[in-house]
Amino acid sequence: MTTLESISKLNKIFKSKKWTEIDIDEYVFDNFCKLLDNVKESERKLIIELVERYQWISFSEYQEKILSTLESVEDEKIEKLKTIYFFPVIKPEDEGGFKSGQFLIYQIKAFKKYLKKYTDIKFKYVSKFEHLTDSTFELKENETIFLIDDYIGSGETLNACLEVVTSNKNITNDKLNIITIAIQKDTSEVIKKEGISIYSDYFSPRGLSDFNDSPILEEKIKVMLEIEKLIPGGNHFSLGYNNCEALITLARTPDNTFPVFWMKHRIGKKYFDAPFSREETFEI
Amino acid sequence: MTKRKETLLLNIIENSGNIKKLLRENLSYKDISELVNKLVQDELLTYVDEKIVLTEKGKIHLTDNKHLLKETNKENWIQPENKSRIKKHERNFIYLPNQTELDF
Repeated sequence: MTTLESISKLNKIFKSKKWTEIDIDEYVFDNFCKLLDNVKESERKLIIELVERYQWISFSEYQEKILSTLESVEDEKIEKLKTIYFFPVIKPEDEGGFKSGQFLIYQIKAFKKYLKKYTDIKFKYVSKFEHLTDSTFELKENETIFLIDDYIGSGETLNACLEVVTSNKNITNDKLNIITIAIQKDTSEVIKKEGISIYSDYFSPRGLSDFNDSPILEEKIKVMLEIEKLIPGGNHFSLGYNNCEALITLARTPDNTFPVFWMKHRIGKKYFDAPFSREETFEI
Repeated sequence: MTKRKETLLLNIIENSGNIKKLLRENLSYKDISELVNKLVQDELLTYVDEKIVLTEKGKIHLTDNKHLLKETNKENWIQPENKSRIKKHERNFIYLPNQTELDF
């Protein structure tokens, strides 16, 4: 695949995924092309293959996605409820910071009236862990907790959050529900096994492992590791943090995504911006 | 001008040349990809097993317009290499070359 062929293919992908409607699409497209121009033929082919599976959820889609995820909770579950406690998925040290969970909770608060299924349910918005960990805090039969976030990758933040929340013995796993725009499929399966419910708009597969069988898989991973050699510091995030092989950009690009999509690469002494650079793609 | 760019693109594809020539003509990557689409629509280019090749019509078009590829504007024959230009130094500036860098 020549550079020209890959660029032409990329243009088609952008159009079919409707990425051309996103404000910063030309910046992303341009950086993709420079990357394609800088790598070898086989590497180019792999990047194009991965872009076809890539999810780009822009900030403007957050409201619609989080509300539709809430609507996807089973009717039987909702009918039994009187009160839902909303809490962001955050690490204890991030309490009071500006994380996407808090932002999404604000949107839920602002647009509750559009949530037809929840008309008769009282929403309570919790901002501090201490409210939930207080030993007097108890959930009645018709009460539950919704933990909110835009994306769950390898689940480190979620586990840190769950550890604190469930330190209150009155909060059991069956009372916990995770509501998120996107989650890594592997992580969601682990959490489900623990008896916690998960609702997500998108279950993100592993970009290479879930689509290729041995020995092609090993070959493709080898090509990807070759690309990663161009990225200074890329080996810390090889195949995405915790080998997640994620192919997703939300308001920000999670570090679980293959680093080639969000870290600068270097040719000689020259640095090239990544398509979904973690600073520039943050659209607020 | 557009015809020149189209011909340049056909020439690059025919000779598996580098697209940097098009970038130097002030076309963005986006413009280049759109130009490929246009030439496919005009039946000058086509895809064969995901490869872009010239059609017969494209080959004729290229031969007929090859003269456009020649740079006729003498001003463009020799261009300043701006990337090597440095800021003017002050009178008392002393330049100390980096000892480890032998190719300065």
